Amino acid sequence: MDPRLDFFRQVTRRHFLSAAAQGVGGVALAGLLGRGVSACAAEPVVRGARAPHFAARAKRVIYLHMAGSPPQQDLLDYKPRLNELNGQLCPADMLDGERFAFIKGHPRVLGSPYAFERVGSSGAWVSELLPHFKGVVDDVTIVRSMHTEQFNHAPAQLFLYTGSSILGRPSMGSWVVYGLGSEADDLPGFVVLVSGGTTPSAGKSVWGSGFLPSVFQGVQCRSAGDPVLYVRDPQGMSREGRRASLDALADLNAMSAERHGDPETASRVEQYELAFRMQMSVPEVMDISRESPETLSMYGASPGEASFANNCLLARRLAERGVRFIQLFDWGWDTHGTGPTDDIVTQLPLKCRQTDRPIAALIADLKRRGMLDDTLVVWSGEFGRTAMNEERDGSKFLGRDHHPHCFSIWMAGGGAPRGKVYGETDEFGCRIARDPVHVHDFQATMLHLLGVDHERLTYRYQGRDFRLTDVYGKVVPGLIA
Amino acid sequence: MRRWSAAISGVVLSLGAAVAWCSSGVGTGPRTSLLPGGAGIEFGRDVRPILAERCFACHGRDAGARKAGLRLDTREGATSDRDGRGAAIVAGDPDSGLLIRRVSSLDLAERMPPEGAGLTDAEIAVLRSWIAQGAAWERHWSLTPPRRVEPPSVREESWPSGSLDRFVLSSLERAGLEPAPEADRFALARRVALDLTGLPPRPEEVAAFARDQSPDAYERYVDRLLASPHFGERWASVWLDLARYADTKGYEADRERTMWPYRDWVIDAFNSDMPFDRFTVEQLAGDLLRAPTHDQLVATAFHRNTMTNDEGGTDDEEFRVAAVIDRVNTTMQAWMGLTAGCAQCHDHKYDPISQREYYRLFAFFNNTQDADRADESPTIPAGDPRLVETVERLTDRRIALTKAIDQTVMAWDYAEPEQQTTPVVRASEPRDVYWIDDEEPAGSVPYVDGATAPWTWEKGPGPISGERAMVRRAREFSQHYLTDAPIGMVLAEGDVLVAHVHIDPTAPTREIMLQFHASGSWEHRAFWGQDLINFGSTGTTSRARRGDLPEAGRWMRLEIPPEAVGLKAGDEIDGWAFSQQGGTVWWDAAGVRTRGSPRERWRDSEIAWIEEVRARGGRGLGGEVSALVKRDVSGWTDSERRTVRSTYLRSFNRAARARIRPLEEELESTRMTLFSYESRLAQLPIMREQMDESRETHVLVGGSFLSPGERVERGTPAAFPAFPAGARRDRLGLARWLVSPENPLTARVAVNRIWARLFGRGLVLTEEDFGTQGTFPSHPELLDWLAVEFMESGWRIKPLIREMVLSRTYRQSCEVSSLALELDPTNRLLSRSARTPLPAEMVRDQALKVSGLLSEKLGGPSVFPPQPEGVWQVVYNGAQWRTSEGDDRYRRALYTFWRRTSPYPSMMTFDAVSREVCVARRVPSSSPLQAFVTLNDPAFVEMAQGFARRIVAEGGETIETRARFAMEVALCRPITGREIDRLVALYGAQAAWYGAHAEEAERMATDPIGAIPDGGDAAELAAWTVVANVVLNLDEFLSRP
Repeated sequence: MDPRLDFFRQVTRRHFLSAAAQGVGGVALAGLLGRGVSACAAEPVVRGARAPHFAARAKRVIYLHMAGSPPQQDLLDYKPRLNELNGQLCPADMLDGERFAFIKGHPRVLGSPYAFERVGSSGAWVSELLPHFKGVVDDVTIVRSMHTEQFNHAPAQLFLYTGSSILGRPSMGSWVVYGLGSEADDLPGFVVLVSGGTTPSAGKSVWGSGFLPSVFQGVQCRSAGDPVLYVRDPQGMSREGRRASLDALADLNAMSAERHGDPETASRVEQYELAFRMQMSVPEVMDISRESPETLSMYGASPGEASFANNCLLARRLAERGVRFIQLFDWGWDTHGTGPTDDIVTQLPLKCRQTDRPIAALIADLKRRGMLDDTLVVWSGEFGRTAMNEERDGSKFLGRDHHPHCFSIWMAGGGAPRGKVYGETDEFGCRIARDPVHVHDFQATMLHLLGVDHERLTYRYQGRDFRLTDVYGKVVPGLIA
Repeated sequence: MRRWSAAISGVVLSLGAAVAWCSSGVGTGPRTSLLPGGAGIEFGRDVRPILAERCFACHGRDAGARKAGLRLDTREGATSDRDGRGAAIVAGDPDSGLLIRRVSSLDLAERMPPEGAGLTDAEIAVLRSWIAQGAAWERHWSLTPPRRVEPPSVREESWPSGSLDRFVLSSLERAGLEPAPEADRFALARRVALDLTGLPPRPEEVAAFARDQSPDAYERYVDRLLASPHFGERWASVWLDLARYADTKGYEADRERTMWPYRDWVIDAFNSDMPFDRFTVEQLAGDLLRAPTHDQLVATAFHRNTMTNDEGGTDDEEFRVAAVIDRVNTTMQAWMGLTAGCAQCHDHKYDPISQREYYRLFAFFNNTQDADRADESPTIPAGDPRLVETVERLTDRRIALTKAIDQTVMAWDYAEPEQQTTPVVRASEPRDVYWIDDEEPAGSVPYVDGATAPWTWEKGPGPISGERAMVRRAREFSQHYLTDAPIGMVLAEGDVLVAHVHIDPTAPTREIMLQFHASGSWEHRAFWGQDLINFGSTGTTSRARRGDLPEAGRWMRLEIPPEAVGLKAGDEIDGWAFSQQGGTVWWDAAGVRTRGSPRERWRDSEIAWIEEVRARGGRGLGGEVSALVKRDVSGWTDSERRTVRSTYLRSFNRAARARIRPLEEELESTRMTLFSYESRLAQLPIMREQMDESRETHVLVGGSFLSPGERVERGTPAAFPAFPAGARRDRLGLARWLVSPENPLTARVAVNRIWARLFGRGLVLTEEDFGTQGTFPSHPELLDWLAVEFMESGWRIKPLIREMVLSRTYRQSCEVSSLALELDPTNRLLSRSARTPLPAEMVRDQALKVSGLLSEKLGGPSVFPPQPEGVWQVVYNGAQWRTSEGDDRYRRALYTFWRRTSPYPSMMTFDAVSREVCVARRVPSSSPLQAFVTLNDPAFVEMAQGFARRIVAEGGETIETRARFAMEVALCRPITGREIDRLVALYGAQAAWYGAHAEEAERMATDPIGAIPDGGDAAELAAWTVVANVVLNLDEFLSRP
């Protein structure tokens, strides 16, 4: 036998032995959970640091997305002027150069049917639809001056999550895990939870990895059915049976590695061991029945449902276990007013009832566990809604059309200021009056809170360095505590 | 020099292990590639990459981003003195120019580049030697056409089997390496079968090949694979990533669209070894070829794989422009390996495409008919080839019949009959004169239930007059009628209206009604039977009951005195309706019983006809003729005369009608058949040029369709060979330009892509980028040699692949020596065979084949293999995943229905791409989710169950023979005793456990594949399923040998 090959086989063998001795762990393993990429046929090259560029305020993100986009005028951006002009034709200058998704002709102003009051030390105006949120308002920064460039759901969601309205770019969570890796040993670094019965308009692209390696894509965990696709052993196989088959698999792989001596075989074995452990850890973390009745009722969660309340509680459980980016999508906020299932009189209060308590519970729960300081919680839609009633085809139900020029979001914890209202819109809640925050600025700020310089978190693809913020975006100092 | 001293980068923090791993292997890599033992400095290989990486962003082509007026991408820019500041480079004297001083400065305020780490000492040394050697500038290597290089001489003359090997061996020898030994026959058999067909060989094929001692055994083995229809499937799946092939439109609703006929076209193209130049022209411009065939139109669906946005309120123009942009980017990417997309918003920073040039390319694609419409028009019917053939035949027939009718009219030798002088006499006895008999009244427009449609004429129960009768079959109310006949039926004194009816006794009706139209009113009705049809008022002439239903099962004569329905002598009936309430009713021979002589001279005389229609004000004749007949005949031009004549002959003249009528009827039945066939065919979106060239192209400022700038005309970028003078400036011309021998990129990109699929990595690693940001070829001369061979041998792909897989280079084993590991860690020099993970398609196909479940059916509509519930949740789209039944459950991966916003999850886990945009190279990853798929995905569990049944049925009688069979089928090699022992041990333990757990055994053996075959034992099959599951997860099984 060629002595050089023998040497290599020894290396491989040691690799196996050390892996066995450590249980599973070490550097190669790091590649399996979003910490790195198998080198395979590509050139192994380290291109610049991916460590935090400066001290991080937030270690992780919980992003609550109200898919379809809530109306800011009815929740967080109080506009008494709309009520004064309710039912009147809107001022003509509000229509200049505007394109609407559905509004035709000259629309009428739509006041909010809901009462607002000033709450918390910041004196923020909050709608009666969000009673629980009022209780945590001193922990959040409300941003009333967000704006985007897209006025249809799919492109606007893509724009928010990938920095581009065209499909094919990596999502925010993928960028973050690519940049910072994961702290979870046996869970994915980027987890997605969906409620409301359907995925968001832009589909799975909003948690896709685009041109980043697929290991960085979001893993959808489901609160009904298998929590992660295919995590469950086949029907009729016991845990012991799986263990025995993985042992046989490892032994046979080792025999085969002796023959060809490829170190990738070792990482394959580790990949399977990790999968084995995830089969335990994922169902464990997804099983909220282990929570105390008090906690369950605080969130309004009930085990076995695919609800937003359950997902909020799951978000906390995932955050506790070191998951870096936890993305929630809740469908049902596209309140056009074509009928009772999408208006602001029936549907909007329903969505608020489903989400208000769990959101307040999530913030309070993180706070009491000391996790709010390094967990950034974000709440947003993908754009705003019009100050005018849509009245599609003469509908008698009240609703608002898509509006990209301003919308309200909020941020809590993770280095965001507490008890602050940032930015202001005009009297109609139609244009931004002060401190605009573009989607790219928001992305830059979020990365900044995570200790990442958005201009230096790049990936070379097709000859160009790409980044989440495209070639734009600036950090907003007013959104940093 | 303030501008040079901006923003010094932050302190580089120490790397955590986790973080360091993130960027490994992502690799487009450093391009400075001083080969061990390599020659002197080469600009393209050694210098340009440094400048491109570190300098061009601010000192390159993009005039908008250029700093300090300095450009380093041209010799002129780098060596000229800018405003007395001195030149950046003084050839021959590294220390005189500014460049070396600035890049090696220790003062961070002066050092270039201002951000990030500075140049390494090695990089600076390369720049110094290059300047010292005279700073020779070359065009970027890929812009220079490939030239044929003599294969180099090598020390080990016995090794190479052809020129290809000489290039590889030469670089290995320079590096002090030797090739790996030849792989054994078993590994080779499996490797080349997977590479060429995407499927593993059968064990008996491997055994036969291993035994075959003839010198051409391997060649013959390869030739069989090249001839296999599965070859096309394998290579189509490579092309479909570039074609961004999918079965849905993308964006929010992401609705289905028919694209699979295009996918089948690609498979056929590879199987028939269509030359790559033709492959190119037909996909990009098949519609512009002279008299394009159906297949050539199908090929153009390549560029209809762009996404269509059906979302409410979207601006179709915005997404039409997005589609055109995608076509430009995809064309440049797939054929020329260039990332043109950068130039959409600004001049390309690195490659020679200005923004203006980008939109000149855009202009080629900017004149097609498609416009982000929901119906995807333009489309052609496509699908089942036999159906397509029938539709084509019927379409030809339809065109021929239409032409025959026109020609009959045109060629008709009409002669006006002699004037009739006999006076009109009243007949003494009344007789029937039918207005409606065997066809609708001349020139009238027939309706059925409210829509213009020909009436249904059939032989039926034997017509009362002529050859056929009218029929309606109805459940509820139904009618056929005509209105506004140009020449109606004028009632004479004493006339009685007559019609004949035959009610089918097996499908009785409840009421029949006749309606007459006269003087603009339908209020003249007679009915028989129940009073259900509520037109008019019952008991009046607008709804007059004439009795009970006539006897069914025989022809019955109906007579209606005109006054009973409010008509009188002199009235002209110009419309007639036959109505019924349910049942099957035949009608025939409708008109009048009269003593008068029918005024039917107009049936034979054009002059008489003109008089008749003129008297009626040209009613029912249509605009032009109607106006003409009101004018004096003497004032008509020749062309007006011809128009009137042809109307007369076509619709009114007795003799001409007799000739035309059968043609019209055949035309009508052809139309109906064609319609029914067409509706069974899918509508495939294709490319069609707009008839007029009206759409102007402008530079879009910032890439936005709302900001058109300067107007541009079609043209290709100046850095590339000129567009041939006299060539058509359309897509066809562009396609031919792409495959012209002068094009420096197309052939290189094509051979590199094929090389990468066969050798694990491209000669140019960045398959997607042959520009200055891409990697320099590992073997530039070999790349050129292959490219030239490819073009000169007629762009044939099969011979190219054959040449590659027959080479000694390809046949190396994947064993790696410690020396090779040290000197060639990434196998850039091809010192061994690449052992790579199988792509997503092969992961599925191989397991299906081994399990015995694979359906080898080629082509057809996409299929729906099992997928977990709830994966498809798409807003505003009710589409459901409908799991395929029968063989379609077990089709190859490339036939799986591909939804862009929710691609088949197990394939995505194995790094398939979502097909939203053109992707030239998949980046392999490794994740525990992959283990979940092959261990637990019910589709893979089913394969393990199928494999278990196969093992028991075909693997002999003992546990040992069965274990050996399982491993041999999967791995295609002799199996060692230790391996058998290990599987036997696993089987033993599992069989014992399942023996004691009957319920689990039943589930493990049957869910989801189905009931245990006759004579089978659940515990045995369950235990073999566990074993099969292990075998299907072996690292060796999931790797290319």
